[in-house]
Amino acid sequence: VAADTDSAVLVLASLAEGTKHGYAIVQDIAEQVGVRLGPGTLYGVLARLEDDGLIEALPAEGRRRPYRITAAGQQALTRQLHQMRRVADLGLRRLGLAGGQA
Amino acid sequence: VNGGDGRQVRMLVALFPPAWRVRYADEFAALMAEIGTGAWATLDVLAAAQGGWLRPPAPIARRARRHVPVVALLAAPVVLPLASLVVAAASTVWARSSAPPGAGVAAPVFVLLAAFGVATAAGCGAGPALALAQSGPNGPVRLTVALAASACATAAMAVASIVSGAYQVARADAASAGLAVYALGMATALAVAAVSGVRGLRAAHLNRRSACAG
Repeated sequence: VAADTDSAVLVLASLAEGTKHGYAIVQDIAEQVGVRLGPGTLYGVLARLEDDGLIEALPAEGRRRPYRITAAGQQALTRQLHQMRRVADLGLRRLGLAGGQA
Repeated sequence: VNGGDGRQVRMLVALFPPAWRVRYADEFAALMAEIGTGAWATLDVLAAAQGGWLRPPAPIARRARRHVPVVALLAAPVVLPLASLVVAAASTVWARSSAPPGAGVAAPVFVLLAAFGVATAAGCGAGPALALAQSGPNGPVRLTVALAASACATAAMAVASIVSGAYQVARADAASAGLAVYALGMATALAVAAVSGVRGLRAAHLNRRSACAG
């Protein structure tokens, strides 16, 4: 579940910047986060996000099809990121690493 | 992307369920052409294809469910007539050996047989109907003829059932003759319906393939 959720958050975060097709999403995530998203994984995530109404497919441009995050997708991403921040804060606090300590 | 990669991409795309391919094949192949078909990407696609069959996303599952009747109907023209003829042969043998001789099968059994035969013929006739529904009301003439043949076969099946049933009721001593009329009518009707059903389903398959290619 964690892996699926992580991939979905990565894709939503990438699309939060603007519409992108599959290869642009893969490149963006690799450059910004350093995570290589496989083609099968990407399309599994895209299909589920589209099914949940969190992203929508735009008309194809040649063989490529751009995707766009929806308002529901922005809300879901915001909720997820806030939750991830709370988890990160909790972990850092309990490890004694909060407040910028290395 | 060279020819070898193109073939490999096509092979990888072919691993996904048909409904998935209808929706994503083009853009996915384009992505694969850009990413490449290295071992890591291939393994990722293999895992995703497996997931596509085991846990298809809802829209893909809905499309796949629309394919299920087609698959069922493809089997119907072969399976149902054979099953019907086996049942008819068994019931005829059973009726001849039952006591008193020539009394035929019991009324409920006969009704069940008749209903099964009519449903079988109708099921076989659904092939051309399905193909016509896909190709529109102005579909190929041969398809329309196939549908008409199926409809006639189904009607013949129903008439054979009703006539032989009425004959059996009116003349109890002629029960075996009634059953023979029924069996003959069923065999003829099912043969016609099966042939036209196969033709119709073949047309449906070709329509779908040309639609996917377009």
